[in-house]
Amino acid sequence: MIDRINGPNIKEVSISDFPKHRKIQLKNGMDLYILNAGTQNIFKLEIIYHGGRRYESKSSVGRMCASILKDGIDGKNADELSEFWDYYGALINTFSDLDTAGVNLTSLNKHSHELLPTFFSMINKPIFPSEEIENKKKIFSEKLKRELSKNDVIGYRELTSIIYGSEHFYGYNTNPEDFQKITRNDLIEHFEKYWGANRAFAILSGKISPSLELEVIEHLSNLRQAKTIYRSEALVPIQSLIKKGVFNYATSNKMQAAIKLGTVTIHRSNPDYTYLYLLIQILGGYFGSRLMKNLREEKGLCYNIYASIDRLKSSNYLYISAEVDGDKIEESIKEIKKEILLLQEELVSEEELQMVKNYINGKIMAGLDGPFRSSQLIKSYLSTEMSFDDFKIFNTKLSNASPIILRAIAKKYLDIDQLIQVIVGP
Amino acid sequence: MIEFEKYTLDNGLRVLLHKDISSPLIAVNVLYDVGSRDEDPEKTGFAHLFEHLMFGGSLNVPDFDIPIQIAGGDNNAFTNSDVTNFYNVLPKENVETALWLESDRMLQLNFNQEMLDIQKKVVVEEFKETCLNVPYGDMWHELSKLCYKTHPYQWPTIGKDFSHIEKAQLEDVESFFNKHYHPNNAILCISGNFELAHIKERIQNWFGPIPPGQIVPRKLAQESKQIEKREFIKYSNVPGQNFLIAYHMVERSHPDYYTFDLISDLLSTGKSSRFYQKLAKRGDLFNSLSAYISGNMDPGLFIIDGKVAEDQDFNLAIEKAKIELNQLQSELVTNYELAKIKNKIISLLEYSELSILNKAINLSHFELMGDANLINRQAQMYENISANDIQRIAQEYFTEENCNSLVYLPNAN
Repeated sequence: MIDRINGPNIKEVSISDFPKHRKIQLKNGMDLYILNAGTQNIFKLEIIYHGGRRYESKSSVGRMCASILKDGIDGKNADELSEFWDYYGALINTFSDLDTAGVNLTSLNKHSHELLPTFFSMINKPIFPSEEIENKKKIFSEKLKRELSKNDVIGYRELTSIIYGSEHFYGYNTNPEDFQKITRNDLIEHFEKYWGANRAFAILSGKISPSLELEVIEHLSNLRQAKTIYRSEALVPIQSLIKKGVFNYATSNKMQAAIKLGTVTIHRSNPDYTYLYLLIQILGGYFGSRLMKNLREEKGLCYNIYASIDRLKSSNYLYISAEVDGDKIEESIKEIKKEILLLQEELVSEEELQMVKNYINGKIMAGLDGPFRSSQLIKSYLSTEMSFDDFKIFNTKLSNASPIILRAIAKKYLDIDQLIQVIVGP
Repeated sequence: MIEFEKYTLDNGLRVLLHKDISSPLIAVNVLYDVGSRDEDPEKTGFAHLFEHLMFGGSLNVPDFDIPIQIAGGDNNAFTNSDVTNFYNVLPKENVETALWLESDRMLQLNFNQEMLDIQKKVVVEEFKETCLNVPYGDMWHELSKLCYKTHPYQWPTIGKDFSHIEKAQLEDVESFFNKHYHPNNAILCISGNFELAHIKERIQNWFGPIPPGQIVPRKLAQESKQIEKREFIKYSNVPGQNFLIAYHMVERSHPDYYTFDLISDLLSTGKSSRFYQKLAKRGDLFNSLSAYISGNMDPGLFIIDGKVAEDQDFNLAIEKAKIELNQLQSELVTNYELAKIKNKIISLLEYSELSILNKAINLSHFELMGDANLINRQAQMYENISANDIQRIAQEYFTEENCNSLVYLPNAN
């Protein structure tokens, strides 16, 4: 019989294991991680370099450098390259974030032989064509201008700039006119210094045959070397970054205001990190969170509100983000602060805590669904230089977290007076 | 090849089961055959408001989020002009929690004034956030109105105006539920790591006892053929000149649907596409230019979406985009280009089958079109398209009489 009132018994979600993989050290010192799983005959090869924004000589040089690699190699110009990838239905992406930059290729297995030589030419000998660089500057600048008409985007930019300072690599913002200042030499210099095997690791995921593995190893072993040797980066000290204040930005976009409350916070390597992460989930990390329940479900103040910790290699910051009616700003901020105070004063119930723990475990499991998702987990650990053992430590701490610990963490790390308030809108 | 088993419960609920043991998870998808096309013109936005209410509690479950979260899962939903779709992804051990929740809200929603008031406010906020607070946010309102004069596609899913939502009464909501939310108007699809006999038994237990309802066959006013070009220029607080050019096309189940889709890929998917190579790449005339189809069940739209570069003449930009369409009418696509587009489409189909949730949603949609097994025939449908088909479609549909053009210009000018 079924019990509609109580529902089925819920089984405790088992803690996931770190994705099964093999690590191979190549003769040039580079590490290759192989995740062989999945049902489709597809592979993804991703190469990640320690070459993101923090190494830029000028604003957006790192991003532009990553993006321009796709625009020309010996024997194939930008159009011919696009034509080539498209012909085989391959997906090729470059990226550049605050710490790392890289490139990935996704393809049906049967085309690997045609695709890999060109893929590696692209990251060994790109030609940085001037005409494409000029195009790109214009396109990037236009895109940014459009982005800057969104209150939410402005709020995010201002918050990080206030936290880290407008000169710091985690804090500065690119303005539309900055792209014009970038020269071809800036891009080449960035590439030569940072895009090399001695600053990189690779992840190969999907249904991987032995021959595909050999093919990839062969190519990776001959990957070019960067001029600058990589050394681990120190953490950004927190104390100097603690600030407070209210910052208002008036825009022409007045229907709704973007609110961001945020501060620098502890790094992933801090023993309290797992607890803080859990606490932020309770506050605003999922659909049934305290903030969602209060501001959206009970008061209808906003459509979306969330709290999050952004994890960077050398620093973390946390923030609460919402878009609310122009005349509801004060009320919303008051409610957000009320929810934070509640976490400092009252114990979270065992039921709520268990629910959020299960929710997080389920999320982790969802992040391991299929080889490509698992590869993203490996990538995030390696990019921020976390050890894979930390995955287990995180899970153990998560299951041990108690209401008393969480209340202490709320008092220690969620100081309302130290939250920077950014309000963009009316 | 996606293998699945299909059967119908006595109450008319169609069930699709696709087993994939490579995942630790299970996806449970419930599609209701109701969308904004089924709304009263004076009460638009209801199908979407309903999607929100469906999370507000049912006969036996006061809160939907708590059980799914305890089970380690996640749920959400989306609504469009044609369907309302609810989905859950959770660890395989706890699949039954999703069966309980989905079956209970199919059985009976818990209507109450307080819940309605809150969700009305949330939806109105969503309306403001997505349609009013952002530049071009009302573009779909304007385009739908321009293209459709009789068919209910003339309003977008969020609704014509948020006053319709504000005015929603409890009895309206109840009658909408009673009209559409029945097992014989739904498709349940489960994909992932389950044991077949066991899941069937559990489905029977949870969904079997729900009584079927009276479903009134859909009778929508179909759009008569457009015979004259339509144009609308809107001055608004936007950062740049954007336009949408829309041509009426065929319905989702028509064989030519795939040709329209392929044409949109040929024009704008990937950097080797015609639009990018000829018009968007340099960024001097366009910041971006793309083509896509609305993908509706009833005859939808083939859309050209252009963001014109600063200081450029939007008329010239539109003309240039149309030259590309004219070229499809006058010249046959080469074998090479056709092979390239087909390769691309077939790869993308393969990539999309990585996720159990995608598979569950897609199977449900194909079943709604008449046969879930169409999912396995898609590749062949694209393979069958010839250069002549492309030319025929271009000549028949990309005409001035069938053209709707919507242009947004910044206020200051």
